[in-house]
Amino acid sequence: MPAFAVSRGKPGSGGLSLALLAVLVASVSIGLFAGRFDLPPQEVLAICFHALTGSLTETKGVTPTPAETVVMVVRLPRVMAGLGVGAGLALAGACYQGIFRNPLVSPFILGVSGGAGFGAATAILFLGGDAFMIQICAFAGGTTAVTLCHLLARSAGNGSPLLLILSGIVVGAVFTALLSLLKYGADPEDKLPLIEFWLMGSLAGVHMSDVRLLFCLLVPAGVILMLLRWRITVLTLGDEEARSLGVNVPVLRGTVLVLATLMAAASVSVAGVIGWVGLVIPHLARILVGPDFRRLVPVSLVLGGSYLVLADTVARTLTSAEIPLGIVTSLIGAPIFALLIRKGGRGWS
Amino acid sequence: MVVTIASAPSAALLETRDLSVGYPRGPVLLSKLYFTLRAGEVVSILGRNGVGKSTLLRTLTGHLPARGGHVHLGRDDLRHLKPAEIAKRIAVVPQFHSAVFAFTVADLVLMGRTARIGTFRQPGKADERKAMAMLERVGLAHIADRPVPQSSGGQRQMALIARALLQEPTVLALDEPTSHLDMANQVQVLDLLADLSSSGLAILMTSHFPEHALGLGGRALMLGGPNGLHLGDAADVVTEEALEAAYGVSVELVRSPRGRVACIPVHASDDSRA
Repeated sequence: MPAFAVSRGKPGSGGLSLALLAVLVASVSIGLFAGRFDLPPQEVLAICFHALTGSLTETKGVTPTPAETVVMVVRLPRVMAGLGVGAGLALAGACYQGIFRNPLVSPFILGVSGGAGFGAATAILFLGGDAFMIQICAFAGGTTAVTLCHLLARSAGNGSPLLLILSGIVVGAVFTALLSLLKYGADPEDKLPLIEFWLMGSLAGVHMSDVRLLFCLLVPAGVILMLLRWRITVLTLGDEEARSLGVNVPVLRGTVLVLATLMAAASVSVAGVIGWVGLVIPHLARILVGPDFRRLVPVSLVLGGSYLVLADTVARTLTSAEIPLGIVTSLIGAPIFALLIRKGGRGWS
Repeated sequence: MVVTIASAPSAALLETRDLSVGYPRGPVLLSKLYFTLRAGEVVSILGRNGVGKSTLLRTLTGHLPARGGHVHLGRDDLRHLKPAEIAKRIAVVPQFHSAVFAFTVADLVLMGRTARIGTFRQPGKADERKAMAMLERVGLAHIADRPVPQSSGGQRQMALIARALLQEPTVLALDEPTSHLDMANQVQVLDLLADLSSSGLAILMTSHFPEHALGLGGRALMLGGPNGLHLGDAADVVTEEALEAAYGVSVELVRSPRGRVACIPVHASDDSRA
């Protein structure tokens, strides 16, 4: 088996796993150790250890120390949410790109972000603007937009990828217009800034309960996609070849689209519209390990999660005021994408 | 080592009854087709562009629904079989391979194992060993790790055939397997097909080269003659008269000293030169 194992000049599966683990540990460490509140790493680790063993001061009925609050209420939830949101968006992007056989597709192409933005604005304006309510409405708005997009594509023809993308443009435009209408009518002193900040994306208000909810959706969807990763690889050959190789194309494509959309909608509902992660990370992963989803899925997950943790660390530490996360990911992601374009599209012909 | 035929040699692997083919909402291109394909047989489908060769092949391989009549794979109606069940019996070598993403030759060939592994499983070491053995067999082991877009047309065709053989099918269906190849690669593909049919694989191919049908022997199905279609031994079907009727051009069949037949179309200017 020399050709399969060695000569492609990439790390074997053992080496790849080690490299991914190292990236993950490094980014999580940076996310936990860096911050405006000065805390030595050993104290952060001690607090994490206490949290695991249930021996925080809080559990002893005493007021938590400032250090404990910083780690348990700010850094740890944000690192966890960053991992989930980044991994979710990156995997959703990789799946969308594979299914649409187009490396320029992002997970927002079918209107998830427009629908989620409209849902969040509705919650802010009419439903009290409670954080949990915003999440629910954003998730509902995002999934509704993609569902409408599917119905439109199916009614217009056979639901082919091209029709889906055209429908996505239509549905996205409608929801963006509705969102603008809501913003136009919103109180500019009070509500409008809330909507704008939500749209820019942030992990600032994330609680541990949000993280749990997020992972309840991301983990099952991610596991199924991980199991289907060879079938998705075959599906990228196109409908005709995939079918003759034994793939049930409509069923597989539908399943992958639903799961990827759920991951993207869940990520957006927790963090707002975070651009570029779902587009750039799958590209980077493909350049590193090639277009085979057997490697592309785990690499996209780890790189996406790590990238968002690092970007969020920048967002909360660079200046005394928080910078919206979506701005950071775009400011870093766009130049990376430009570099990738200059390097040429390796991994796609 | 390549192919194992489960059924008895005389059993029909593929059978059509009163078959009509054509694209949905398009014209019916062929009708009343009855034919049977058994293990080790070769059937070449001939006819001019647009007469329905590829449409027939796509109908026989389950990519297009029949416009009428039936296609049976063994005892099963093709309509009732799942794609994975069809893929275990019929392997298709497409005319064009147009992947957007640049897989390596080894990965492309490995995809032939898809129907043989579970939906939620990934190919294992045994599958990779089979893929490498097949690459050795078709002479591509040295380019196993080359991205497919960087391989030559001949290498790509051999890789697609290798991928099809990894499905361990009973029928191999090829859409114009020699159309984009130079002479040496044409010979290589035809020799491989002859070898495969003698080991029991049934072969169904469309072709623009009547001499390839004659060279491979077996039967030929000529579409678009005066009688609509003509099925019989290749040597009986591929005649100068039948070719002229089917293609609308005069053709000379010329036998070489070694016994190979070449098919030479006559140009309008040829008479003035003679």
